Amino acid sequence: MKSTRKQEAIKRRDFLKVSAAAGAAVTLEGAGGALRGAEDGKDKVYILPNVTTPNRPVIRDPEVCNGCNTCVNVCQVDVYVPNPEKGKPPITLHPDECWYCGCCVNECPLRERGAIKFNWPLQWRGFYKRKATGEVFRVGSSVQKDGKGDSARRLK
Amino acid sequence: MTSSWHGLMENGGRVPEWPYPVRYEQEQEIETDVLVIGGGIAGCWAALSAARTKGVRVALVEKAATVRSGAGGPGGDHWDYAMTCPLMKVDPFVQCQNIIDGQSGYSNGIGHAIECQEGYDAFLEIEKMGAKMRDTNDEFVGAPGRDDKTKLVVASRYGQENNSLRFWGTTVKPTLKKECERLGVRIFDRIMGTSLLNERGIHGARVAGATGVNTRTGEFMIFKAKAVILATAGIGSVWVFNTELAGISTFRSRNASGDGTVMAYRAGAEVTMMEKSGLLYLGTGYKHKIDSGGNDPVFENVPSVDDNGKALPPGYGVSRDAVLKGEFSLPFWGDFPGMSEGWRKINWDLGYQEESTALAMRRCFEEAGYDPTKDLMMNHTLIEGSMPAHFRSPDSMNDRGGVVVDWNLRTTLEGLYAAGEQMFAPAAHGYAAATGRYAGRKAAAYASGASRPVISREQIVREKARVYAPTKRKEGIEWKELHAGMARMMQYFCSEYKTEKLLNMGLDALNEIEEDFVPKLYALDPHKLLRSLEDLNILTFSQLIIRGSLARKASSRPLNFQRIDYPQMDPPEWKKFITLKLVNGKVEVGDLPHGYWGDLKENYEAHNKDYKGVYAG
Repeated sequence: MKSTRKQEAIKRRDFLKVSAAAGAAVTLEGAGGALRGAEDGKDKVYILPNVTTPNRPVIRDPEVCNGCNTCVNVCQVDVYVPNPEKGKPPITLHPDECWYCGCCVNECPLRERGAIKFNWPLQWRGFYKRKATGEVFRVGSSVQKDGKGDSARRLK
Repeated sequence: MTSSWHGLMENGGRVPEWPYPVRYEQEQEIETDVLVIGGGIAGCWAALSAARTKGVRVALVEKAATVRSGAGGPGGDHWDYAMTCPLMKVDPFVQCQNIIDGQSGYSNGIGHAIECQEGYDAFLEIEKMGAKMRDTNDEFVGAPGRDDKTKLVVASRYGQENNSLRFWGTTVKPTLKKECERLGVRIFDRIMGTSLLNERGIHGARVAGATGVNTRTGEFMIFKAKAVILATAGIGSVWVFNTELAGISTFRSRNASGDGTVMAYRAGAEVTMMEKSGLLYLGTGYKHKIDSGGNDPVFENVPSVDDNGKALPPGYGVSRDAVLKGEFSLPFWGDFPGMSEGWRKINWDLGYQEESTALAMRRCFEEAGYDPTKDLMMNHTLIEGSMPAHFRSPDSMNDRGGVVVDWNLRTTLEGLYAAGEQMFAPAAHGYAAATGRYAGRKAAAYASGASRPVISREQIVREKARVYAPTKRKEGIEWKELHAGMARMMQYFCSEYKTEKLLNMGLDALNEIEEDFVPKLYALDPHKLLRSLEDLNILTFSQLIIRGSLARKASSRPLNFQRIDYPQMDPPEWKKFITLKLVNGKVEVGDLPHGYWGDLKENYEAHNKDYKGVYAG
């Protein structure tokens, strides 16, 4: 439950590692408006409309996802389209239409290995209270808990 | 390359081409005997049931992917009113009458009779097909309602009498799809049905097929059929359209746009109960949504406590006043640890595991360290304040407006049948299954003796012009703004306070949208075309809601319908269904008496002399 700088540092290192492995064209996925293209070592900025909200119903691991498009094929509302590059993670094209049914995550053959992870929008994240201590936690903030992927943050 | 759209722009700043071939205006023609539109629980059952009749060819059209589509696609955890199950204690027809009375007569008695009488047969059939319908792994031994002999779990919900069977709904949809395929049903995924084809193009004549559009390629589909079964979803987002707070959902997936009801109305069929609305507590996005079946993450049988651990009255009975007086402290909490182990297991390991959209969200909680034996889950009642009046939906949990049907689940048009929630019916898994199965049987019987359908080229040409109009423009008004504009008109003019004046202003405002803005609607790709066409259905549906509201000159509690200018609640002369029908381009208002179906048992039996029970073939 403790927020440590060390963990943040590890995360950042992992990100840089992934970036390096995937080559020049990798950016921080779903990071909002600003694009940090590493091409030619320069940041490029494009003309883009505001990103729709919410815009990241799932978080993918491009290292694990093999672009099988199972998620594309089961989605009720076509949130995703296949990546133009075969074998790469699908593109999140209509995140604003997502109703968070979870089928894309539940059906992913590589879910256990972390290819895709449900990303509850910020405005929907739930709270819980430990009955014995009265501590209140919020689901899904940045602090790791029990070494698992997602997390909860203890509130004051 | 990343998986966000804007990430693609790094790829030299080029927008990739549409990933599917674009086939606007191109036609594909399919001939079948029974066509089912909508491949959710009702539609799959309708298709496989029709396909059991020898020699009957069946096609199934689904807007998404049949394997997981529909409200019951992700899952389901309770099957209501399987009254012929030996563990149930009430006679099916007595139960059916109880349901109808519970809604003061504003309920589809025919559908409920089928649900109560045949639901359990469908339950047993889906189990035979391979879905998990009982506690075969003995996980719930000792839990309330778990019958050790049959391993069925009869767990009541909301403290009501035992009339629900629990089941493992995540296993259902792939099983239904497999059975459809086994029986030779031709499945057409990613096709939105756009219109019904009347025989020889004559409005109000026998239905002889339908048109559709591929939601990825834009290809035009023409289906010729001897009988058509409508099994599409109800409707959502009539009053509330908000992508920022809610995603796009108001309880249901974006796809729920009342397509079947609108198509039927346009073809000349009668619709009813359009004026009914429900307060929209459900997963609006203003509410948290772990489960689309609860108005809160804390639902069904979880006891609630206030912030000091003081028990709240069951249900959602704490008033704002009680909080203001300091009797209860906010926020409230769902006391999972305080439940008996058996009940907690039923809720957390069955309900939150199997019900609709709960599974992925449950995983979020667990990964965040939530433990139902130790932790209280926050309940959002009252902390968001009172509910604004426009939080309304035709998509209430109980029966809502839709197509009028008879004892064959035939609509008022020859050759057109209906199943599931769109026949002024509830959104319930068992109801959808039982009525789908029944409609499939009846439509197949009709199709077996019906002549080949004759459709009209002129009607197809007209429909193609309507369907593709938004693709011909590159600017104007986009579907989302159109939708938001319609929703706002409904909030202003057809909300809690209804008067003749307001309703007429609303109708006028919607007509203005139809005349001035629909001709400017543009769609840049087949997906946006799909959403645009759905909007046009929502527009018609909204107009019908106002038409129905204008026609009912009395208030009604069960319809959640308050006319300020006709304040008397449920006067006896208004205890009837209002019907709407398109005749010569004008809306014709009519009525139907409550209980128009006659004696439930007698009529059910008279219409089902050849019914053979659980399918043996």
